[in-house]
Amino acid sequence: MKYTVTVGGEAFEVDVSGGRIALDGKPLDAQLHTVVGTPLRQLVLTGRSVTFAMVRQEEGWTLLRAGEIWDATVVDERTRQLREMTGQSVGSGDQVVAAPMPGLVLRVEVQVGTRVKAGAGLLVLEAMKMENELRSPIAGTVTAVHVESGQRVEKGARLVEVAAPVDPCEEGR
Amino acid sequence: MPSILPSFHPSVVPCGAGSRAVKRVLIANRGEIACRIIRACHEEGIEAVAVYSEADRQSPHVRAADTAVEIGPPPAKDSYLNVDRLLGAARHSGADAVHPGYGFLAERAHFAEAVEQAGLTFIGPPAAAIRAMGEKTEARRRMAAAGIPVVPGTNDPVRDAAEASQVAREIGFPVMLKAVAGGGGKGMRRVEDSSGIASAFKAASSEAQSAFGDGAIYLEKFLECPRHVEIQVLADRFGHCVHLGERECSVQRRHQKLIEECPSPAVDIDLRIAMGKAAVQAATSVGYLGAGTVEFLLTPGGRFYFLEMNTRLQVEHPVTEMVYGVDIVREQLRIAAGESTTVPGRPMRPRGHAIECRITSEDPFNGFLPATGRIEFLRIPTGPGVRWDGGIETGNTIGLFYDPLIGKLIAWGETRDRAIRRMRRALDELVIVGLPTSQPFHRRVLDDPVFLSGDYDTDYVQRHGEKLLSTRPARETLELAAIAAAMAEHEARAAAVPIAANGPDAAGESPWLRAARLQGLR
Repeated sequence: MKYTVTVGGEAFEVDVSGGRIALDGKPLDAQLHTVVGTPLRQLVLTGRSVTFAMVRQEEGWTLLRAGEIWDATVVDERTRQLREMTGQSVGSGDQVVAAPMPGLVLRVEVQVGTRVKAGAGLLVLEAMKMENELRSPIAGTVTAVHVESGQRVEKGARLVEVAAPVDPCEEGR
Repeated sequence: MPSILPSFHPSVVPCGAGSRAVKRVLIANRGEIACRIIRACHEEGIEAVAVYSEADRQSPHVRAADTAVEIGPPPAKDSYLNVDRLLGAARHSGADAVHPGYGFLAERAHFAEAVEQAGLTFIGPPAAAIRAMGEKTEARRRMAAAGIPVVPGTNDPVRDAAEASQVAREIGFPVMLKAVAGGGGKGMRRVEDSSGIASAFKAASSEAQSAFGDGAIYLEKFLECPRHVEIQVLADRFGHCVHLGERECSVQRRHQKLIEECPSPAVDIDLRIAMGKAAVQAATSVGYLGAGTVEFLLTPGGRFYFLEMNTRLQVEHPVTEMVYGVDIVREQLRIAAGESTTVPGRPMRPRGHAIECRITSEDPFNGFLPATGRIEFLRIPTGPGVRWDGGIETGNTIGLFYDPLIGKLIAWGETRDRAIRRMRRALDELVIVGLPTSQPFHRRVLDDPVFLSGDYDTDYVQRHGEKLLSTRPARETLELAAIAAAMAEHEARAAAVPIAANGPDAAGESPWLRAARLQGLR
């Protein structure tokens, strides 16, 4: 089975069949061992062994190592082809920025159509008596703003939506 | 209890000395520091009483103690800050002493008084010493009188913006406006020139009013590129007041420390002696007792100025413990019980180097925003020279009620370079699944040439933090992640399909058996 994996803003094609895999067409010997009773998985390649903590998500996996966290979207070939036909982007990466905690929206710094870089401030949320700037997780264009300044929001409330550019190379992260 | 000091003669016992019962200690705190204090109690053969809020029923400190008392709902004001409930818990559990830890009520003179009035021993300094150091202008006056250098500024609150402006012109811009009742960076404003002083005064004063109930503001000259260097002191009832060298705490963000080192790369033996002497003088001048920390600002030219004294156990005390071979909490317990400190009066030599990284439930990639979640998995680093002072276990939920500090990772090495290598290794071993933490920030700092050079100051995080956090992973790392994700996905789907197709034709076969067979086939 061929999978398109998008991680850290880069896309890889990984073909998995039995104990053999191919990364972007290059064959590799690879084994993935689960450390039973833990989220740890050890990837053993020729001359290389690395352990990630891995948690399954709706469409892919979250991987952790030395505190670094990567979200990897994994889409199989058939789904990818279907999406291409219907015009959806692969592993679209579109993001909804939600309130991480209940709070008060102090300022909204973007509007629909604003092009943002990854890490750009979207709005300022006051919670726990601290002003917290919520930033865009990706580079892209703001497609929706659901709140206005002065509004109280609950944890998990949708605040701002950012769509990734169709061509990921268009705007670097 | 054995002591390396000669036992005292009763005829020289100063007023207030004499042994007190410290057999059962109530720890008026939670999290990692409660666990730390309970450990020290148990090593001394002392029973520990934990208190906990409804939010902390599952917390490790509750199980670590010999007795545990629930003291109220999650908000701190109804539990860990509620003096009546804490004293009630002490009475109920038969405790004879109270250790406040840090934060919460640790530096509230009225709490120390209430504890003593209830006939219990407060494991900390006298209320008068807490009060003298807690009021910042009072502390400045006292320190200046004791001949300790203080940052140029006012020793009294300034009345209004006009007076602040006048003083600022005299001592020269930039200046800092600070809350008299201050701490933790609240009610603090930097002012560049006279045009900004009126609005800054108003903002600082109102912030101080809401944070401390006291809007009084004083003024200090703003020092350029200072380092934050602090001296650990210990004072017992026999007139011994000793210091345990310095800690370097300049890696901080918005006045919150992130990484601490002992010794400081900027302090040589002469400076250590001079700062140590000043710190001991500071403590003595307020009649200090127990463990305390005198904080200084150190300029690039090697001049130091008194900043404030923390009249309690400090978060970063472990780095001193590792380098000086002294258990500071044990010393606190001994001193409170009327015994002498085990630390000799002559200056001690630092042995090796220790670094502490504060692991907090904050997302460094999202402006250090506090994060919440459940600890799904925790792997604690071990091995030579590594220490974990933690307050969490798998299954704990991290909420927003309390401080985001979930654990401290400490590494010791023969030299600073060895300690740094060891800390990198330990950070690589640490796994926390369930919520973002400050761990990746620390890992990046430990590879940063500026940090490695040791030549950094309190502006370090502001100047270099963003760059450090924007570093992208190597392509090889992403390749490995992509392969692992694809293989895990493939495996998960293969395992899920037959179970999902579990229809009438598959009746009688246990999904457990099938899962086991799939595992075997892999």
